[in-house]
Amino acid sequence: MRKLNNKGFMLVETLIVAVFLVTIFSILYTNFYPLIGEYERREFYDDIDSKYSIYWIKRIVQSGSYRLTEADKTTIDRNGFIKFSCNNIIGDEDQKATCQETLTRTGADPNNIYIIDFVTSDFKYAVDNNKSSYDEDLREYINYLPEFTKGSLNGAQFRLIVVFHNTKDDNDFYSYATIEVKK
Amino acid sequence: MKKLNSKGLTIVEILICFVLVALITVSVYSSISTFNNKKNVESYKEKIYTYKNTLTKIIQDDLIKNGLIRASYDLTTDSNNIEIYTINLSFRDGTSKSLIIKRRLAMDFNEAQENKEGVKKDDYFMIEYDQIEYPLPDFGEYQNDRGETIKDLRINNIIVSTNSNVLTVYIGLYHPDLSTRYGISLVCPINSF
Repeated sequence: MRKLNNKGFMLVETLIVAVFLVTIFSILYTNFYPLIGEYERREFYDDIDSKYSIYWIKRIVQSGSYRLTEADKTTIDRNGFIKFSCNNIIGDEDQKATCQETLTRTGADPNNIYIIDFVTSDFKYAVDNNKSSYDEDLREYINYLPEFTKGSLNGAQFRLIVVFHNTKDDNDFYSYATIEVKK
Repeated sequence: MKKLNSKGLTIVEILICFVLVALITVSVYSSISTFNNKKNVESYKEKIYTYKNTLTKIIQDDLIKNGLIRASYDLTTDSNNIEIYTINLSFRDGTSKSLIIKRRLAMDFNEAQENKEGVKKDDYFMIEYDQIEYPLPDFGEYQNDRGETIKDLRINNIIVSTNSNVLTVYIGLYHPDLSTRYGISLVCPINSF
């Protein structure tokens, strides 16, 4: 009858397997751990509150009373963006007040509302070349956005990017949203 | 015939095994416990998101598609001590709908310890829109010192405003593991833009 090898594993063999397993798990951990942070950050990207809030800002820009001149459009082409302002609403003071109140109530940061070209590449380039002017979280959001190079199905030429500043339990947190604009 | 090793394990070997298993269990227990808590919190968050997203979408769709031309609200308290916020919305197509938020808060622990007498009030929360009730997700409940039922998920604050022709409704939710981080937020300009 054939003689069986029933010596079991040697210590060296066990150690080699243990080291191998530890290496594999540490590689997996280092690769997956950043994904958890990424997922938590993206909880604040285009969430439902920011999306409906930016929709009302879009309605303001698209209304006939919001002035977007040819010079503004040239600036968007040249610099990648212009900033939104309720003062660009012509005529009606009540509408300006409603615009201000909408920004206040939605938590939109008036200094961080950008009107950019529909394709985001110029704005990405502008942000990348002037990092100190933009908050790190905003830069991350802009990096995360696609370039939308295929164009809009609705014929939109512009895009809004808004930073919303929320405070809960004395903690500040920011959410980000984008929406296309037809003007 | 081959001779078998039939000696079995010695008591020392078994003891070493037990010690090793105990050490491993203790070292992974805290990790598993943290993971379990995180899993529960994520599950609460998911349920709150589903509830919030459903309600927000239904109301905002009406505000966007039908166009809000008028909004008014009032606050009353009924005979069961329930605060009732009624927000009446009138739309461009001539229709109108009501958003009703009902809330009755039981006393929290400190209040309940100091005040053991008087009428007992259990937590009660309900949101109604267009005559359809949307009960808060059920995350469980417990009782305070007065024997009142306190729900784990509560409506902790309600803000309604129509200042400067902008309707603002905020329904703040509270959960011990999530604090007041989540809520239902509705903002809509009235008869403008």
